[in-house]
Amino acid sequence: MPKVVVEFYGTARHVTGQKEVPLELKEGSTFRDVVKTLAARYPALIGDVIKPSGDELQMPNMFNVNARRVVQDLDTQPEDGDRILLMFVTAGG
Amino acid sequence: MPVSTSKYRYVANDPTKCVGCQFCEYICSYTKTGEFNTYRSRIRTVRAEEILITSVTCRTCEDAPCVIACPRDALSQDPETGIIRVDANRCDGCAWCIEACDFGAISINPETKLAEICDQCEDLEDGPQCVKWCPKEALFLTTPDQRAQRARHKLVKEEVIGR
Amino acid sequence: MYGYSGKVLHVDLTNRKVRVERKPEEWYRIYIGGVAMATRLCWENIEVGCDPLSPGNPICIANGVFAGTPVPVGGKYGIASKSPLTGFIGDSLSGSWFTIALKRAGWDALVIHGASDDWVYLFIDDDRVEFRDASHLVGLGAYQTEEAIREELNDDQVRSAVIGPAGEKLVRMASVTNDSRQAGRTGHGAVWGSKKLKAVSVRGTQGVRVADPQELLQLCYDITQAAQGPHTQKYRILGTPANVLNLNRLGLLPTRNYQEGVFEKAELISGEYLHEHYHVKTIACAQCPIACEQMSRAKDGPYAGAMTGIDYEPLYAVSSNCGVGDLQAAIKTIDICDRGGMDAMSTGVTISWAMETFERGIFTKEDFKCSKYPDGFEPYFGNADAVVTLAEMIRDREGIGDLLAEGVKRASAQVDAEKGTETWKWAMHIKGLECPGYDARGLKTFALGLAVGTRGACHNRSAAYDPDIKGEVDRFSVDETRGELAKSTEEYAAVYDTLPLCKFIRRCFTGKADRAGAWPAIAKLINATTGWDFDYDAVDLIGVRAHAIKKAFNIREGWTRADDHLPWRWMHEPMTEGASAGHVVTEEELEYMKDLYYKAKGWTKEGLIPKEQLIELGMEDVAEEIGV
Repeated sequence: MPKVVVEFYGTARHVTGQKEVPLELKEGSTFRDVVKTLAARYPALIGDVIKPSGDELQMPNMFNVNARRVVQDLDTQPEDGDRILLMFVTAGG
Repeated sequence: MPVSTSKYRYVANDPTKCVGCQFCEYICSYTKTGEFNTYRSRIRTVRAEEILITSVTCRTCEDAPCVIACPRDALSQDPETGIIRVDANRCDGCAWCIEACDFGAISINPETKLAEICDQCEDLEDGPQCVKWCPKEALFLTTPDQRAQRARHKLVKEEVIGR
Repeated sequence: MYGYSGKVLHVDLTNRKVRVERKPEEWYRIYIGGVAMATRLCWENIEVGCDPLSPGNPICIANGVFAGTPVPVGGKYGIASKSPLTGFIGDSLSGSWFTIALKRAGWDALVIHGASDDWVYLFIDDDRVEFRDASHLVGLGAYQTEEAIREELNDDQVRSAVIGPAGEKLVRMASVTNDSRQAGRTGHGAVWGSKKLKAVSVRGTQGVRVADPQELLQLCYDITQAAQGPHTQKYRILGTPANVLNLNRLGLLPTRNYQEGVFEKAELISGEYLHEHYHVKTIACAQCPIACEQMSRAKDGPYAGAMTGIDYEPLYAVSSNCGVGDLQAAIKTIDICDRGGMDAMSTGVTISWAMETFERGIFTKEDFKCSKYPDGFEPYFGNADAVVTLAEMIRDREGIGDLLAEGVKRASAQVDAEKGTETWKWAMHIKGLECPGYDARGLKTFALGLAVGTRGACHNRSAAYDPDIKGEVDRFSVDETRGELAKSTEEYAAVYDTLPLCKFIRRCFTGKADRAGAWPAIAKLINATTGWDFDYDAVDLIGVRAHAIKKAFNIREGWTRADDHLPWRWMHEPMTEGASAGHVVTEEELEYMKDLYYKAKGWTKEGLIPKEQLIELGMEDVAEEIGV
């Protein structure tokens, strides 16, 4: 059972009031499953952060794994111990 | 600030939502003149200080002072809607109506020299274009009565359940 | 012509004369507006090789094609002069009413030549120009000046672009302010100050006509509605300060003069904290349906009452970058910069250099004597009061503020010349323009974009952080794709800067911000406004041309390959903490990427532009002068 932590930034944190949430995933879970889990647990994310379908991130939000790489394909799998940053592309100002 | 005691509807602005984008002025001037020119808008945004932003247009006062003030009887008020109408044959642009208006809602067209006032786009099916366009939904058609109701609801919500 | 008047107004401050220049439609199709048109006018009107603070450096202001129409975020202008910080093209943008008034007064652009003997301001009243005495405005802050002129001319529809005390005193990082917005970077305020020009005020009463208003309105309505959705959520809700925590987590938040990329007090300066404690109102520029400016007020303590709009870039510069984890002090410092009329980014980065120089023992307490602290003070990192005080001293050129007002490149050179030190090694600038709020050691494509940037270290002209942060490439390494990426992102940004449209709208056309998502929609807006027949390729060409004229300007002013550099620190000192620790951009990596970039641009190895390329872009006269 892989354990991961999802860190919330920006709008995700603003609408949920959470900084991070630990998740225990079933064996073989994908990043898409992470999106689904979050959508079920935090309905406030649906709209600005997660698409109404509940299984995809709303642009420009993205998953960054361990501040090192960005998830390009939601159907790949996180690894045990990953810290998944839910953030959006920074620009401007 | 002066208040209207009218039973009629008018376009009101919620200053907590207004961001000062001026789209209302663009769409009003285009609807009325075919050009984009905020100088010719019948609704005007006002920015006082840096964070106090709203827009103002005709409040459709009952026994409207502008109508009373007009020395040539060029202004009249629709008894059903309260909308002020300007008779182009009578108006000579003397601007007494402007002086009478507590809301600064009347202007004189620099070319035609006629008074211009918000008519709530009464000839258009989808109503006031500024309301339709306002990106922040800050503009709405309302009466003083309805505003009072809204205020009471808002107050109760804030007091009782802390927004 | 629709969307344009076809007229450029020339004002000569030396002889107090005015002249009208008519430009052919073909010229507009090439230079469009904004930074490209302003730069082109600078190219045409400057005395080549002049001192930026001499009368030979013109002030060139160009409206956008969409100013005065309901096209969302189209109310912006470009301003160009030779920059007193870089000696190369200084091109900036600012939004809101001023440009709309200028357009409605019947002018596409304004070129101000020469210099006045006495303080003056211009009043452009539709087609009439007045030179008005400005001696009574000298010393007034930027916002006060705007208000004083409105009162003097007795019309609240008069819109002004002004300078504050910093511009009057030729502070090299001084900005030009209009409607509480700034053309912030590259020191335009100092150019105005050198001409004794306090303000340009405009009353424009004419309407703007477009080719197909019904079509344009429908397009605008849809974009306006889309601009209320998720595509702009980060701008509307928390504004750009939302970047603080993201960048901190990625190890990219400049901290203590770029020594590190993580700040232990990041939470305290975050957009979230700002929103909860100090936010008072979100406001918009004129003609903008997004509204991103987070007006914020310091509510208690020594800075109570200070209020201004807080954006990420000024924020990082005066807070984490100076080691200060106090938002109220940051609001105060940015308030001083905004009212004083100077760029808070360059101000913050210059202050952080002074702080490090103090901590290293090269500056001492005595160097910081001023009227407020006659015995001096100790500007160690984290000393919030020192940051506030130094911002005031720079604005007034008081004490050491006189040195710092020269910008970090000149200040460090002067200190090193006097003391034999190497403070230039932590002077964070490129071409003389202070660095932005992304540490480029952990964003290598962006490092290239910054190094080759025509106006120096600027995050707005190069959007090359995008592929790095989105993870389209590995942000810590270098490969053969980076030249093309730097080219592609800077030309993409140049399209927005030339129309100009605020880049915050870029996802609202179709949901996708890339060229395929945005260019066809932008072409429709251009066509409905002007009656032209632009398509995808024509829109793309706007950015290519804009960048070409800026580069050409620099070449004529003496640019060489060596000017495309990075700060020493980014090339030699890795950070020790956070997600981007351990990386630098090496000399070899930088030179390799520059080669790739020049090749992608179709330039020579020395970075010069072939004649044929300029001729193909419709710039024969430019080809003649600087093409190879």
